[in-house]
Formats: sequence, C-alpha cells, structure tokens
Amino acid sequence: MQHLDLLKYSITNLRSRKLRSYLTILGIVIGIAAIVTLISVAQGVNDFIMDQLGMLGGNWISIMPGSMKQRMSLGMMSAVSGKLTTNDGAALKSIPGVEDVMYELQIMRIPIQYKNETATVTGGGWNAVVFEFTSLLEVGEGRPYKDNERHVVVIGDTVANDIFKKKIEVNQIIKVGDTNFRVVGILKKSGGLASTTSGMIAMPLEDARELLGQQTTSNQVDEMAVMVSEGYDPEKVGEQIRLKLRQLHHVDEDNEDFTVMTPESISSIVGTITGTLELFLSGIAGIALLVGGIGIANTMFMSVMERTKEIGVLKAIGATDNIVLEMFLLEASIIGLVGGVLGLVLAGIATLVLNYFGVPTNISPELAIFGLFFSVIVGALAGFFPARRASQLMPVEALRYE
Amino acid sequence: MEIVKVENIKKKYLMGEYELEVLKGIDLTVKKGDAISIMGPSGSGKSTLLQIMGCLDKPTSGKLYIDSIDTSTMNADQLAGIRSRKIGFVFQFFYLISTLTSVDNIELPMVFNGLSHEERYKKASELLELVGLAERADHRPSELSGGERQRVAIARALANDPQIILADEPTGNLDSKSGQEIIHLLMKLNKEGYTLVMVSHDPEIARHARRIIHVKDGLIEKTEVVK
Ligand SMILES: Nc1ncnc2c1ncn2[C@@H]1O[C@H](COP(=O)(O)OP(=O)(O)O)[C@@H](O)[C@H]1O
Ligand SMILES: [Mg+2]
Repeated sequence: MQHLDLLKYSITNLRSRKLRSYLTILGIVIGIAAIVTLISVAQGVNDFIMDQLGMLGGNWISIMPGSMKQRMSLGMMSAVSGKLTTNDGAALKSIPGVEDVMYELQIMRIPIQYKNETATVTGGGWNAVVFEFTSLLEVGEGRPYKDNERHVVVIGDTVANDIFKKKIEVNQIIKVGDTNFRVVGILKKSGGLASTTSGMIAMPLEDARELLGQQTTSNQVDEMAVMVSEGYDPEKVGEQIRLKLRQLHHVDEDNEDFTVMTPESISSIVGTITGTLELFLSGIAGIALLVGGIGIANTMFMSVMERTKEIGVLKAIGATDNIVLEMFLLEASIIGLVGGVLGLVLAGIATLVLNYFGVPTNISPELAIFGLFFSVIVGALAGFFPARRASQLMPVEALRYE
Repeated sequence: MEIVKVENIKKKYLMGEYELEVLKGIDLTVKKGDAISIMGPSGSGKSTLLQIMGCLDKPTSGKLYIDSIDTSTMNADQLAGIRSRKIGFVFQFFYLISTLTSVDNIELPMVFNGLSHEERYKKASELLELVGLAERADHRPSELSGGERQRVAIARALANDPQIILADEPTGNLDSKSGQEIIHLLMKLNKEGYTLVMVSHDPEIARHARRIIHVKDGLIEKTEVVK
C-alpha cells in the first residue's frame, strides 16, 4: 500500500518537474545510446570479419611458391625463388587424402573489349575445380567453364553490368587481349570480401597462359590449392604434401622454396588478427561504458543532490530514512528505465545511419537487454548514494542545503 | 502532563578552530495545552532550540523528553516515528512540496504513517476545512498566497494528530494581515486543545501566547506570563 503511494509520489514528481526530468533522462539517453551504438559497431565489425573469414575457411590446403620466411622479409608481392608447376600438382594427387588440385595463374591487368568499348580488368586462369573450392566464385547466371573448354570466361557482376554501356549477357562474345572469348557465366553479386571478385574475369588455365605469353613457362602456376578428401586430417595431408614437395624440389626443411598453408595455420593467422581487433573493439566498448556510465551517474547524482532540501522536508514531516531512500530509488529507476528505452531507440536510429554509410552494426537482444539493465542499475545506483547520504542527515542539516 | 521537557540542553557548533556555543544550558517544560512563545534577538538560538525540541536536530548535551520518553538514545527510525506521530512542525518558509496539491501535501505525513488512502483523504479534507481552505484542495503551492501556503503547512503539521505544534516564525514571511490570520488560527487550535510553541521576535505576535520565554545568548533570560 505504502509502496504504491511512494511510487505515485515519484511519478507525480517526475511529471510535474518535466524540464528537469527530461534533462536528466536526456543525459541517460545519450549515455545509453553511445554505449549501445559503439558496442553494436564493435559487434557488427566483428561479425562482418568473422563472416568474411569463414568464406576463406574450408577443407583445403593452399600452396604458394617461396618459403614463409622469404614472404615475410620480402613482402607479399615480391618475386620469390621457387616455382610451382602442374607437374608438382599431378604428383601430389598420389598422396592419400588429396581429392583434387586447383591451379592459379594471376593476370594483374588485362584489357577487354565489348561492342567497341575497352576497359581494363583483373583476372586469372584456373582449372575448373576452382568453382568448387571457394564461395568467392559463385556463378549466378549461366554456368562455370569446364576443363576441356578454351576461350571461355566467367565474369564478375560489375564487369557484366557496370563497366560497359551495354550489359554483357551470357553467351555473348568479348575480346580479352586480342582473342575472342565467349561469356559462359556471370558471378553472383555479393558484398564484403566476395565483392573483390565482382570486377574480375576467370578463364581456363591454358587461356591465361596464352595471354601471359612470355611471362610464364609452360607448366608454371602462381599458386595451388589441394582439396582434402572427407575423413582425412588436413594437417596430416599438409605434412605429406610438404614431404612430397621437398622431394620433388630437392630441398630440405631449412631451405624450402614453397609454403603450405593448412586450415589450422590459416586460422592461427586469422586468430591473431581478430584477437587484436576484438581487443580494440572491447576497448572502445569499455570506454563507452565508462563515459556513458559516468554521464548517467553524474546527471542522476546532481538531480538528487539538488533535492537535499526536499529530503529534509520529507524527514521533518515524519519520513524514515528508508522511505526517503525508496522514493528516490523509485524515481531514479524510472528515469533509468525511460532513459534506457529511449537510449535504445536512439541507438537503433544511429545504427541505421551508420549502416547507410556502410558501417556494420549489430544490436543483439543481449546487447539491448544489457543496455536497459545498465541504464536502470547505473541510474539507481547513482541515485542511491546521494539519496542515502541525504536521508541519513538530520532534517535540519538537509534543510540547510541550498 | 508534560509533553516536552528540555533538560540542560547545550548546542555547540565547531567553526574550524573555535567552538560556537549557541545553547548554553536550557531547561524548559511544556505542559499539555500550553501556548508558549520563544522570543529573543536574532541569532540568540531560538530556532536551534525549537528544532531540537522537534527532533529535527540533536543537542550536543542534555536531555529531551517527549511524552516523558527520553529521545537521546533513540535511533534514526525511532526519531522519525516521534516526528511523524508526536510533532507537527511549521516553518517560516512553509516548505511545502511544490509538485503536490494542497490535499496531497497534507496527506504525505499520513502516507509515512501508513494510513490508508480513505483515512488520509478524510482527514486531509477535515483539516482543509479547519484551516479554511476546502476550496483550494487541488491547488499547488505556486497557486496559493503566502498566508494560504502557511495554512496548508499548518494542516500538514496536524495530519497525524501530534502532541505538539512547533512553529518557527510562522508569520515571519507574511504580510501583517496574513500574519494576524495565521496567529489567530494557531490560537484557535490551542483553544481546541493543541499544545503550541512558537518562535517569534515580534512582541505583538509573541503576546498571543500565555507564556513568553525570553532567550538571550543561548540562555533563558526570563519567563514572562502574559496577562
Ligand atoms: N549549522 C550551523 N553551524 C554553525 N553555526 C550555526 C549553525 N546553525 C546555526 N548557527 C548559529 O547559531 C546561532 C543561533 O542560530 P538560530 O538558532 O538560528 O538563531 P535564531 O533563530 O534565534 O535567530 C547563530 O549565530 C547561527 O549563526
Ligand atoms: Mg530563527
């Protein structure tokens, strides 16, 4: 009974001190919105990166020329000693657990011509198995090419739709370098990491070798990847591959001229990247909590301090310390709740704006509930301490407060 | 019967280095039905004495009995109980809750005393009637004149049927006409049986009581019986 009366008092108070209530609530709204928005960005970026890295993962082993040591010291793009050939790949097929081998020849820049317009794109040659290897090359229209075909291409969706005035359709002819190619497939439009493939063209390995001309020897490839059969441990298969390649290249462990990247070694590299990122993002979230929390605590603290005199009056007419505390705690909680709800709404709007500018966000239900709890609890706590301090004063001391 | 008994009460304030002794040993007994004025120059300790009598403040030493019960050993909740049920305090500056209507202001002490909504409303309405403000029940303090605010404050002081009304310069913030009305209201309440102690530095106001206690420099200088 009395509790309801006290609640009514709190609500009356909040409603008739509209401006002050609004200002206090505004302080909390901003704090909560800042916290939730920043954490949602942190979560969104994390989700985005995990998503993208997930696309790279899989049951395959990547093999590159040059040792890891060389790569580290020379930089990713530098020329490295050591060559990989299709002969190497053919030999690897004898290893148990090697399902298939993909070869890649990279073409940095290549002119293409369509209906008297020319443009430069990036591209590469792969054997047809590439389409099974990675979701980065997912054919939307048409079909992938086959290994026995020549002068056929699969093109990215930007190449098909945006580069030329007229869209390129499946089965049309485009000129790549000096040779006519038939477009057999167009890649699915996709965002994120996969969007790197939307501006490129993919062609059979032999076609790429032909276009590169003198730059490459008859069976050399830039990269290989091994698809591991089901039921085999990629790490063990990877070890067999290294042994085989050492044998083929006449090298030993200390002067390997190739790098074998198993899913585990990839994920450990990825792990250090995301680990750093997570640390960074939780740092941001921590700062948001601190700043928002201090903001909430400060507004609440001030609004209770201001009312020390009112507490003196309440005590003078017979309120116990606990009644005073309950009244102010109720008020602080209501302010915290309302501020939290509005803060979530504001955060929702803020994330929409951020999304519009391409910043990924994610307000999970847990984050929303956390934001609400945080607001109510920080609000109540920040109200509790000054209210308790004031309620424990003798009435005259509280009344003297200006 | 003794409602309030003050026994050798002293009050000191520590002002940094030195001590300020505001009350230097006050003895005072208030009997049921009494009407007492406390008079004295500004700064003589009148308010301090009244606040101690109302359990709004604690003396540095000495004893205060309310209804023959020693308050010096009481904890915060027990003191709150005394303030709630035995004492009605009226301030110079009214100290109404600005967000509440007259009737809600009067009900508030009864909320603290655990009365039901019906009991509170009935009592608050009677009290509004008593102080002549029945038609102002739903007005907020800002919509009332000074005299009317003080009437509401008096009604609030009476909410839990206190043993004693303590009024600190109840007319100090009012024009003389409103002041007269408030004094007449307080004296009317005294005639109806309420015990009254009020502080005033105005002899015209103080004269309405039956006894005038003259305080000077923290001591009772003399007690004057009004004819
Ligand atoms: N909290 C306090 N700290 C220090 N001095 C105080 C305090 N409260 C009152 N005083 C001093 O005590 C003296 C008596 O105050 P008060 O009882 O209000 O006087 P009166 O009501 O008679 O004018 C004054 O000199 C005043 O300055
Ligand atoms: Mg005074």
